[in-house]
Amino acid sequence: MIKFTEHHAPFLRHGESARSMAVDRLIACAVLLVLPVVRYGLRPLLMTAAVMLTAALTEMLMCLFLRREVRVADLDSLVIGAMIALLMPVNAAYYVPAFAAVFAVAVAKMPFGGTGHAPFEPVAAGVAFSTLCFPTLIFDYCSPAAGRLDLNIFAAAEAAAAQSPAAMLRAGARPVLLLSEMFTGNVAAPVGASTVVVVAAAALFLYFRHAARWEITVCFMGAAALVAALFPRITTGRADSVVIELSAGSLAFCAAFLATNTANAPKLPLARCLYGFFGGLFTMLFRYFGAYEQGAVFAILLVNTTAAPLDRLVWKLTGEERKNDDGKEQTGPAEGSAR
Amino acid sequence: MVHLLLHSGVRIDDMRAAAFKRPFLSLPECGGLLLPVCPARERSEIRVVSEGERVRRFEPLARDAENRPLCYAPAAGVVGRCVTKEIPGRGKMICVRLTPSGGEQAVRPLSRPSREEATPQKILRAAELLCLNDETDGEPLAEKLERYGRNGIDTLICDALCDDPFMADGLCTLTEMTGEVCDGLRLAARACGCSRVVIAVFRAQAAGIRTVRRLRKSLDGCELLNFNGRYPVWPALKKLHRFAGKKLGRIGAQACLQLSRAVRLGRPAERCVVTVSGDGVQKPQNLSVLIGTPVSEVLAHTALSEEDNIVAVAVHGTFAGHAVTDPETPVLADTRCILAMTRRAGRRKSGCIGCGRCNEVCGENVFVSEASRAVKRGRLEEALLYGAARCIGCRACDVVCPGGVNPSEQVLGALPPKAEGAFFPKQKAYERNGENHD
Repeated sequence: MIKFTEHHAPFLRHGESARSMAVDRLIACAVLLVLPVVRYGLRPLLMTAAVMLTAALTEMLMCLFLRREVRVADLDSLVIGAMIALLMPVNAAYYVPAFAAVFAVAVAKMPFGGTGHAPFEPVAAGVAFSTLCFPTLIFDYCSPAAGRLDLNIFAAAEAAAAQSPAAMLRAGARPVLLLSEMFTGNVAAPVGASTVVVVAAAALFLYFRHAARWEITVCFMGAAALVAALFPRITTGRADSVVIELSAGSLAFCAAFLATNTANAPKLPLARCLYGFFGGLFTMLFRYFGAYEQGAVFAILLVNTTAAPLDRLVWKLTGEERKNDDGKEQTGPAEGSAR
Repeated sequence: MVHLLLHSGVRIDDMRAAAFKRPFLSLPECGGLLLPVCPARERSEIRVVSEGERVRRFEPLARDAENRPLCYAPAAGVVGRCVTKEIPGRGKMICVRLTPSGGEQAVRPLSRPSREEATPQKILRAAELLCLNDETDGEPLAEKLERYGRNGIDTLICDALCDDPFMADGLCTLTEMTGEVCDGLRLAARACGCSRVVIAVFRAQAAGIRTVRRLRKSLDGCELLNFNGRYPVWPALKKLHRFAGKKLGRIGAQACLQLSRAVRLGRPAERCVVTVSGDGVQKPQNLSVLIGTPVSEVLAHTALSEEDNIVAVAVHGTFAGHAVTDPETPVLADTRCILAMTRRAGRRKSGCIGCGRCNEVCGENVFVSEASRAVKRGRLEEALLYGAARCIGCRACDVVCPGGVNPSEQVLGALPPKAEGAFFPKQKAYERNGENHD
């Protein structure tokens, strides 16, 4: 017997959901974990899993505390945990990324309404908080030649320390590395940000899946490249400066994964371009004049404040707000729209 | 079945070809017809034929206070009780039951037939007297043509687009009754003083390559535009270079057909073309159905997959249609399709996640996310500044929303509610958006 049941249009929907979009981002994070696992053993994988679990538990507790429906199933907290782990040194102790994850979820995300409502990028907020709390530990990288690290994630791994390319640039020196090493991840850098080529591939995957906006990344990197070219910190040439600045630190990762968070980024294409440009510009300003060797996360937090104003500005500049439904300018609301 | 691309609109899988693989059939009269007459709140203002009275084919069943016919009997029969029914897309309507009793006897032509050039006044009079409606938006055809005449449109487009995964009524009407559709289109153009006519179809290949070739040869001078784009097609179509700076008007293919018959034969609409399809229909088909036939009767003539698997029946379209909750719901001139679905379009309940897909698919440049947010906060004027008045109710944003939010409902919340009996909530603005294209 046919059921004539109540059902709301549309009767067909696109198969995508918040969960599937989070799965795409998790796949991209998983890709970034491959090389670190090959180089350092299972420690990066264990750390990532632990931080993801921490973030999920924090969200569940916050939902109970705020008396909200628990929506961990949308996997957003797992994405936050994974990205925070990827921005940490591989030899860091668990409590460093855990602090970041708890702050990201409990302070930057949940009080504002949860997934899609946070005005500031939670991962950037968490990593920035950890940077302020543990300024030496967060940039304490181990040498890529350290080999397999011990699996006790609750203590910092014992390994020879190494200076990251970003730190060398800050000191005014050109990183003594083959360029190929910076592309293949044979550098002291955050777990997921050491291999620019893999970051680029993961970013392309996200653009293809429509989980991130290419305009933001391109303008972000473009602005950073422009500053690196105009005001190089090294003396080996502008082109060298551009390549090294873009490859060093977590700039590429932040441009591809954090700045493109659709919940915090502008919605209009031109606004996204401006947003990306300012993000890249602020990143380089923080690098050049800030207290830390990397400033991408702080730049993203700063540029998050411009997302809504940029949307409104672009909407006004394009004149869309002044057009009513017959294409003519209006000074107030359209009249008699429906009947 | 629904693909998301980086351009405005939603790319859809075209399932209409299945309906064209079967012959176009006319369903016979069924045991009982249900004919909506007026909104329930206007009951006291109308006069309906008495219960038990025998009526001839095309005899008026109800008249308004000014003695103008509101509804015609599509078949001869015996009038039953008046009932109040919830009609999908219109609300509570007073409906007259009619039991067909066979026979072809009809009243004399209600509008004087004209085989030669009909004057614009005669065309409008015929459309008004015979209560013709445009199936694309439910608007009375006479009102629409008068409005087009006042606004001085340049181009009148016959909408046989059917930019829907399953619905193919317009294309079927055009391919099966090409001559009458073209005649009706020209009559409509004459009525509103417009010189250029275009017939717009969406992926006409769905009807078959041979059919398209035959169609092109039989258009009798009408320009054919075979558009290939994304849902909804209309916003992209009116931005085409060939229509730049033109004022456009739009009239459905079935409305053209009915207008031709009204003017040439003096008869009101008695049948309509309906596509019966959906993933619950084994053999999709285009059918000619007597107006007032219950939806359940139409489905009974269709080969369905397991009936127990059908979880929803809908009319008017896949994306912007309405669910049928009453098996007696009648097929009307603007029904266009009957969909039997075996799967519920699962509505996720994540809420808005700020992805912005709603903005990207909107073809009318509505800032959907901000407009819906403004409406939720009660700032209706702000929502209008974000283009809420341009919303055409196509629901493309609802289709792509990963959070299960229906942004179009929120955006349309910024506008005055539609009156009972009106069809689309945005029918006026929809047409304004086309006709005043600058």
